[in-house]
Amino acid sequence: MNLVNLILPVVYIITLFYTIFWLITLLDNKEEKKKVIKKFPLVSVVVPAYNEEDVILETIDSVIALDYPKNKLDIIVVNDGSTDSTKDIIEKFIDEHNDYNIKLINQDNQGKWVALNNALKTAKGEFFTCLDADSSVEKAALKKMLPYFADNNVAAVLPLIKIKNPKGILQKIQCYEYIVNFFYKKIMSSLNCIHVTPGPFGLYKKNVIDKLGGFRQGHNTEDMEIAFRLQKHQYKIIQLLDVDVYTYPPENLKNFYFQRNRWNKGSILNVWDYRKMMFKKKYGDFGMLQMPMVLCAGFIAMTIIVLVLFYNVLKPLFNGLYNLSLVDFDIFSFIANMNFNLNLLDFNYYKLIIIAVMITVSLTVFTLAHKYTKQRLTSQGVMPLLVFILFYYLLLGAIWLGIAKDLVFKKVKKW
Amino acid sequence: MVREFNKKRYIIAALLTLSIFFLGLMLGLVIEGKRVQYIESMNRIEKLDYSSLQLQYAYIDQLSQEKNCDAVSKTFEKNILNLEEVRSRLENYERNANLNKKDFHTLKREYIIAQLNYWLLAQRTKKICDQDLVTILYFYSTDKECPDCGEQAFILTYLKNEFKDKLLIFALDSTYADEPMIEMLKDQHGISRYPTLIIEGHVFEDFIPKDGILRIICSLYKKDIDYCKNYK
Repeated sequence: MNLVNLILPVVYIITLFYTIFWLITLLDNKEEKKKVIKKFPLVSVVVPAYNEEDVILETIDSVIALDYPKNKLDIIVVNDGSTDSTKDIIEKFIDEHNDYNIKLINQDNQGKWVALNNALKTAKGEFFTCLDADSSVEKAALKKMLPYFADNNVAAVLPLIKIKNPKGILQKIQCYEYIVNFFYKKIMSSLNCIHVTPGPFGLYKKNVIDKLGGFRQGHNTEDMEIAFRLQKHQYKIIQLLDVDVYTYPPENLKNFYFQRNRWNKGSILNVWDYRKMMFKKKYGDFGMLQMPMVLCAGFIAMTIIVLVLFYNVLKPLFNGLYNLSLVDFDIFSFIANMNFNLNLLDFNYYKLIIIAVMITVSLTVFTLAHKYTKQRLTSQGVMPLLVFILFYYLLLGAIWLGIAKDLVFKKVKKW
Repeated sequence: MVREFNKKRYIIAALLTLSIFFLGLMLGLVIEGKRVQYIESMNRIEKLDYSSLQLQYAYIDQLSQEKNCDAVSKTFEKNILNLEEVRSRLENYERNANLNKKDFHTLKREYIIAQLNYWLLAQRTKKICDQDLVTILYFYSTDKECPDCGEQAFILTYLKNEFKDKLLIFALDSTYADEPMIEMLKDQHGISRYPTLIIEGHVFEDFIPKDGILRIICSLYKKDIDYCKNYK
């Protein structure tokens, strides 16, 4: 019995359990009625910007284009010490749009969480949202989101984030990733288990955030830290799938790696910071299921990459090459004597059964995710779909290996 | 807010997970049973093949029908290739088996005996039909004590591919304690390390690279063989 044969069933059982749990939750959920807005409270929309001269106008434009009364929008742009012309562009925009209530806050470059807190201090809205400078939002967003705050326990409502104009295979596979992730978050939402309120247009009840003391650095993932704090104080976070926010994804592998490294590292470190909530009945499914899941995700991704890459690719490849070197790389001798005596009994059924179950489960989740987010399976083409299905977990595994290395060497990068 | 905690959902998910897991296990069990049956059926055929071959050589020997030697030696070659294929398959099944390990272990004994039968028969047929061939008895070990066995087997497979029916290789698992013949051979030749090759009665302990084996076997052929030009 080698290491692979021991770890594989553990990973298999954990993954299977979680997926079955999600599917049962999904089946249990009754379709909710669409809520209609009855009153228009003041909403503060914060746009933090650091060297965003290319996209800042597009972002602010999408805010003022919101289908919401002009006088009920309190727009705050925080220039986080930009060194390009971001500040000038914003000032010019404010001058040209004096019929809107737009403020500019300039601060030294201190990061997004400080920008949010500075905005919170001047924000007048009953509700508070942040739109990252590389994102834009659909017009009806506020009208669709605000009615959910009718439940007093709701502290945040989240939109569905989509990739803006995906180009190239990396951005296209992120489209699929987002679809699956938001489907998962929708299920988690029904269990009140959401562990991150992502930057683009997460809408908060401002007095709750004020009461909890604003945003914290949270290992460069302030949107995750605030979600953990809301969960700790027994607030509800709601995920919607019918409100679209568009964001630009990382355009190259390096930036993708750094973004995912920051996100995933943040999730591990925040779980660790709030570890006292884990396995406490008081925190319901969040403590019993979601927090252990966040920890398991990294373990599973790493296992997959180590097992697949090392035991099934690198090791056999190395052994094969070494053996061939013993016979002076005379491959033709083996090709000439190849014997295709296929015997079905020779397959490794232990691994085959696991792979078959995993593929069935993944495809079910994948198809349901597309159904719930109202997307076509091949919306990004067949090639990115195949790449996503075949290589996404390897990519994720590689990122987790990087995180494991960083955590061992205590390296927590600034964003 | 007081959170809901639906214990029932966890229990249902756990039960479903375990059911799928055990269903997989059951399927594995069925497949393992089929594997035992398959090896058993191959075993019966192998025994018949061996008896028939023995009979054919006895016929040639007693009635001096040497003209039939070529045809019979082709059958002989085919039989030991089949034998080797089933043996490696059996070993693979035994390695992956979870519940029928004992069945596979017993079946393995039959194959060890078969290998040795064919090896002895090869010694006799060489004389009866005056064949120019070399036999190798390859003692390997399936445990971690023999890190070089995989490489040695790879080289032997390569040489078999090159020499075809001029080279007969019989692989024996030296760690198989239930068959006394293995111990007898090990005692007789003083074998204590693996891999060990017995090439026409000469013992060579430890891993031997391709060129080393070629030098030994090429010196044993009576006639010239193309592959041996550089090794005589």
